[in-house]
Amino acid sequence: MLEADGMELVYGHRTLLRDVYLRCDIGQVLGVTGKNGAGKSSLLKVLFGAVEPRNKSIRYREKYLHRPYSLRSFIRYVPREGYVFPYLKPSELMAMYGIEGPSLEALMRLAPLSENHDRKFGTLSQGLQKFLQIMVTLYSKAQYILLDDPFAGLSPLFVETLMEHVTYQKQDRGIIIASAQLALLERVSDDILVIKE
Amino acid sequence: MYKIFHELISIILREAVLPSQVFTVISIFYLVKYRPTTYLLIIFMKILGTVFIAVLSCRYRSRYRYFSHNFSLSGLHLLLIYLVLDFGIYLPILLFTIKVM
Repeated sequence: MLEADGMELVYGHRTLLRDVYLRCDIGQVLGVTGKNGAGKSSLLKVLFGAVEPRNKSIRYREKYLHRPYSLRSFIRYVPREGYVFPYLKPSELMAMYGIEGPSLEALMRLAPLSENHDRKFGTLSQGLQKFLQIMVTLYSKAQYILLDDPFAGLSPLFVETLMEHVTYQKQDRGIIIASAQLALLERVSDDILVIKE
Repeated sequence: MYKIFHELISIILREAVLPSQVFTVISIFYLVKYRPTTYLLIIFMKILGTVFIAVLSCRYRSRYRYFSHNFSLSGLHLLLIYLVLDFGIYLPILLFTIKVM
């Protein structure tokens, strides 16, 4: 179980996060929603360890984590704008994550991936790049996956496919999704955390 | 882990180090031959510049940061790779300069 509380994130004179409590178990999809600028993305960055807040307490199995990303294969994060370089190919990213066996077969059954696995990310459309990055990360060996605004920029078909795979992949991991699209979030999440301004 | 380091090195070479080095090498060969004192000043600026760009890359370029963090590499790993690569390419030119001067 991943638990976080006591987070206080301040940018300049503006307090972005305060008194947020979050808990996500393995096998659970936790949706995080709120107004634009409420701090959804910042919350994920704090959980990942990429942003250092003034205060935080992130615990996994009651052990304190200072930089969650530094634990190997513990947590992975797909930011809104993606994180993969244009020179990489989806097949290379899958190899780097060590995706093989049934996971690889399941991924390669997806037409957008099987058709483009050997093309560089930079040659694909923005929506397809984002979809493939999310799908490959979702199938990596990580206990927690953080997805920031995964539905934005995806076609309805990709959104449906993504939700199917999130539901399937949550069996042995925890998934935290930040999005302002509450209707979609409600369909895929087991619990929803609302960040108030 | 080897694959990840290899990939990061090739990304940094393509993204940031190599283009700047090509330009530096061309301009420096001219300076070494005709203006060695100016070249010493460039070495100093180059060291400052490399550290500055490396720190910027690690701290603020989100792709580098999130990509490396997803493979459990910290900003320090990235900074070291960047510095080793940049000075690794630069070192032969520096030695050549010392020899010529």
